[in-house]
Amino acid sequence: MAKTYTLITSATVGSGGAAFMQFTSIPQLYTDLVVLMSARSTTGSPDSGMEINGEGSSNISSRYMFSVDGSTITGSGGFIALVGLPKSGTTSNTFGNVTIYITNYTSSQQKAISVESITENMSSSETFLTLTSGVYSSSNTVSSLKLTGDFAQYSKTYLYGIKNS
Amino acid sequence: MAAGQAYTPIATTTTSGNAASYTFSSISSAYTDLVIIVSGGAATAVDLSVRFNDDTGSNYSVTRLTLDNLTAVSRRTTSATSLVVSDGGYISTTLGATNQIINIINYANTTIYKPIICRTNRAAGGLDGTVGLWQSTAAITSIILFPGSSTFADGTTLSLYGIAAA
Repeated sequence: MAKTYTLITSATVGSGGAAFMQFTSIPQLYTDLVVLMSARSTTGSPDSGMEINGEGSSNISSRYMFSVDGSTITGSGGFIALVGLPKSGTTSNTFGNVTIYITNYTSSQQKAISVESITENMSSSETFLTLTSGVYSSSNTVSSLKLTGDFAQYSKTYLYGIKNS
Repeated sequence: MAAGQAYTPIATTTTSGNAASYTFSSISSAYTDLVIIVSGGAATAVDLSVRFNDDTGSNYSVTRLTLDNLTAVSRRTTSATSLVVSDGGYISTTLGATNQIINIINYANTTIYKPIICRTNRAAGGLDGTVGLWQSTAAITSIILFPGSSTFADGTTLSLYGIAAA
């Protein structure tokens, strides 16, 4: 059987940074989608998020658990939390890693989303381990993804398609 | 993670007829690791469990970090007769609203006990990061997945992939 985990496209932030990285016109050829991101923030905030189909907070909900500098924080909301990226002023040359898995993205059912993200910087602060469960509760298929976060130069993201047959 | 073309689909099913379980059988030893993706629902809200090679002995253990609504908890189970992969991230009755991702490491190795890493997601109420162990040196050739004493909602998709190291 043919191998799968196919690179669909990627995006890289150039000099000056970018407020978002976006995938549009996502082909409806696969079973699941995977987004891998390596990123850093240009601002004093480590927060990053994901919008689906340009709908903002509509049809999105999540529940998350962070380990932040050794403490645990939990929460929920109408967004997909990807925190925390290395923010401005933290250890140079450190970038956070994020993995996002979206199941059955072409279905008309709800689409569950799994997220893991980490930032480690060999200091006593601004380190993160995040587990997030999300859901896109629309009957629309997923055709675009927008990663938000004031990204620094050299931040990069990849979109893969996984097909089960 | 390596570039694309890493997963090979081995088998997939979409359940029907209120299936109480599904078995991936005759699994080849051609890969290094296995990945199972479950996307669907169940007749009642319930945890997802797995067994390997029809082993119903007390040979499974798990340690997990769970988000139960908004409370983070750590839990441990030993000498279980199946490997329960979810807790806060259990299967809901709403089709597609939850998913379960199971990684089985070195599944064909006949020297080691088999480590399992799972992520389960239920945005309406919780999630889990779970590590498990099947205490057997046998190569895994079959995997049964079952939603406790409930049944899979029709339309649930279970997919098995192989990952080869080279």
